[in-house]
Amino acid sequence: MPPIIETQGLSKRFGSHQALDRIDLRIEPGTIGLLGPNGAGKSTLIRCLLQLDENDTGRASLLGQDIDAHGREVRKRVGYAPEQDCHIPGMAGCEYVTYCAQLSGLPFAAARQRAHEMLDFVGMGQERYRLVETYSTGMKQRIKIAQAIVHDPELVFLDEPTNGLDPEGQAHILDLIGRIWKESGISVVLSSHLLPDVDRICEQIVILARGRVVVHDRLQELKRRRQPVAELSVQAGVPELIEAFSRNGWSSELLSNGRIRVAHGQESLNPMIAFLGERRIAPIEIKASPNALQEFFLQAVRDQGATP
Amino acid sequence: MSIRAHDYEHWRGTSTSIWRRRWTIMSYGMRLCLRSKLLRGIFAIAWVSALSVVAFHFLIGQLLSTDSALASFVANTFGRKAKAILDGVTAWILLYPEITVDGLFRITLSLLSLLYVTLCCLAVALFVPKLISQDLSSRAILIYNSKALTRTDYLAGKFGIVFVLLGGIMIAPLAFVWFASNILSPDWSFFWHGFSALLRAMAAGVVTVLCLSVLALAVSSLARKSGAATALWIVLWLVTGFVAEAASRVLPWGRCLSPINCLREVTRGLFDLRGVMESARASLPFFESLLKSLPSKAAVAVESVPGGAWMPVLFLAGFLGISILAINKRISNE
Repeated sequence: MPPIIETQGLSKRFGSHQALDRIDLRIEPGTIGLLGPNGAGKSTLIRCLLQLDENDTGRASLLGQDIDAHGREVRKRVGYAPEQDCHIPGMAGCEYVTYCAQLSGLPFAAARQRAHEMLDFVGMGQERYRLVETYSTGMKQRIKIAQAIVHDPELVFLDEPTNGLDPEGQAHILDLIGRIWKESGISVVLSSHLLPDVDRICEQIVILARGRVVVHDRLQELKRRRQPVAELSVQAGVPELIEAFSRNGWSSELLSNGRIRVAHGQESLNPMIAFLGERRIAPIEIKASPNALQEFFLQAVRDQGATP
Repeated sequence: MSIRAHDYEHWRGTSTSIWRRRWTIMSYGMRLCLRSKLLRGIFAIAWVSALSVVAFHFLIGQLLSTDSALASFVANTFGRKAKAILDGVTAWILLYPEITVDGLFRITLSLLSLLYVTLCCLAVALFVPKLISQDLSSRAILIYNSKALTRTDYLAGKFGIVFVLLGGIMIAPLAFVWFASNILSPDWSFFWHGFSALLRAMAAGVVTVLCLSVLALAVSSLARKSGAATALWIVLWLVTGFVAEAASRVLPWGRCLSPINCLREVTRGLFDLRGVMESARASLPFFESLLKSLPSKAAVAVESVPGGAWMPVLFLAGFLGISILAINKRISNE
C-alpha cells in the first residue's frame, strides 16, 4: 500500500528549541494517532507537512507528492482542522464552509451543495445559519471538521479536535472522526495528547517526544508487544488472591482503586478465568490490558527523558 | 443532536483554476468592505464629482458652440461684451485646440485626481482592518494557508480587493469623465486633442491606486486589531503628512517624508500644469497678463522639491519596498 505520509530527516528548529529532529516516517492509509506530550512537536510536524511552517532540512511527501514541489496541489487533496479557533469573521457557518470549499477549488454551486452535505454529516442543524463567532466550542469543532473535509480530501489532519469539549461532546466528535475513515475512506491523522481518544479510533500510532519519533506501529501490534496484563476487582480475599497469583508465577499488585493488577502472560483471559474458577472466586470485573497505550506512551516518553 | 444525520458522499468534479480561487478571495473581500455605508458614501462622492466635471465640460462645450442655445442665452443676458469674450475664446479654441482642449482636460482631471487621492486615503482608513488584520486576529490566515493556495495567491486576492475598490473611486471616474465629456463635446476632434490628458490621468490613477494598495496591505498586515490598523493608517496618512510639511521648511526634500505627499507630487508632475500654462501664455496674448499673475501653484509645488518629480518617485519606491518587505515578513510568519 503506498504511504500517505513519508518523511526523511525532517527537522525544524525554533531558535534554540529543536521542534522536529530528523523525523523519518512512512505512514499507510487509515486512522493514525499522533501522540506526544505538550511540546513534543505534533503540531509542528503537521504544520511542516502542510507547509504552514518551513522545515529546515529533510524532505516530505503527502499522498505520493513532494510537498516542496507540489505544495498547492498536495493541499488540494488534504484537509486540516487546526487546534486553535480560527474562522473568518462575519460569516455564517454554511457561508464559511462554502467559502473554504471554493478556496479548495470547488465551483460555487458545487461548493454550496457540498457545504450543506458536510454540515449535515457533522450533525449541524439550523445553527449553520448563525455567525461562526457565536458558536459553542463543540459547534466550532464540528465546523472545523466540516471545512477540513468539504473538498473531499484523501487525507485530513485533525489537531486536538476534542479540546475543550465535555465528555458527551468528545464522544460525538470521536464517533464522527471514526466515521470519516470508515464511511469515506479518508485517512485521518488525529493529533492528541488524550490517549483514550486515540485508543478508541486509531489503528496506527506515532508517538513523538522531544521532536523525535519514539514509537510508530499499529495499535494492535503495540498491545500485543506488551506483557499481557489484566485488572480485576473482587469482593473479598484480596491478599490471598495475590498470594495465589504469585504461587502461579504471575506477578500482581494491589492498586489504589482496590483493583488487582495481574501480569498473567497469556494471550487471552481464559486461563485466568479458569484459575479463578478453580478457587471459586467470582470477580466483579476483569479488564484485559487496560491502559496499555498509556503505559506504552509513558514508557516511550520516559525513555526519551521528556515530561509527559 | 444526531451526528448520523447524513452519510458521506464523495465529490466528483473539476477543480477551478487558481485565478478563480484568487477571485473568490477578492470578491468576498469586496462584498465585506462594501457593507460599510461610509465607503459607499465615498464612492458616491467620487462619482458625483465626476458627473459634475462632465457637466462642466458639457457647459463649456455648449458655450463655445456659436449656434448653441446656451451661447445665445449668455449673449442676450450679459450683453455684447460677454458675446465678444465668447467669440474670442471660440476663436482661440479653433486656432489652438491642442492647447485649449488638452489644457481644460488636464486642469480638471488633475484637480479631480487630487480630490480622489484624499478620497482613496479615506476609503483605505475604512476598510484597512478588513484586509489582513482581521485574518490575523481571527487566525483565518491559517485556513487560507492550509487550502490549495500559496501566500502569493492570498496576497493577490487581497491586493485585488484594494485595487478594485480604489480603482472604482479613482481610475474609473477619471476615465468616465474623459469619455463622457468627449461624447458630449460639440466636436469629435476633442477625442484626439484630449487623449494626452487621458493617458496622464490613467497613469496618475494607476500609480496612486497601486501604491495605496501596497501601503494599505502593509499597514493591515502590521496590525492584528482593527482599531490599530485604522490608527496606523491615519498615522501614515495624516501624521506623516504634517511632519513632512514641517520638515519641508528645513529640508528641501522634507515633503517626500510622507508617502501620500509623494503621490500628490507625482500626480502633479504627471499632469504638468505648468507646461499647460506656459503654452497658453505663449499662444494667447489676451490671457498673458492674467496667467502671468497666476502661476500654477501645482507646477511650482513640483519644482519645490529638488529633482522635480523624480525625488517623490524615489521616495515612493522606497516606501513601497519597505511595505513589500513588511507584508512578506508578516505573512510568512503566520
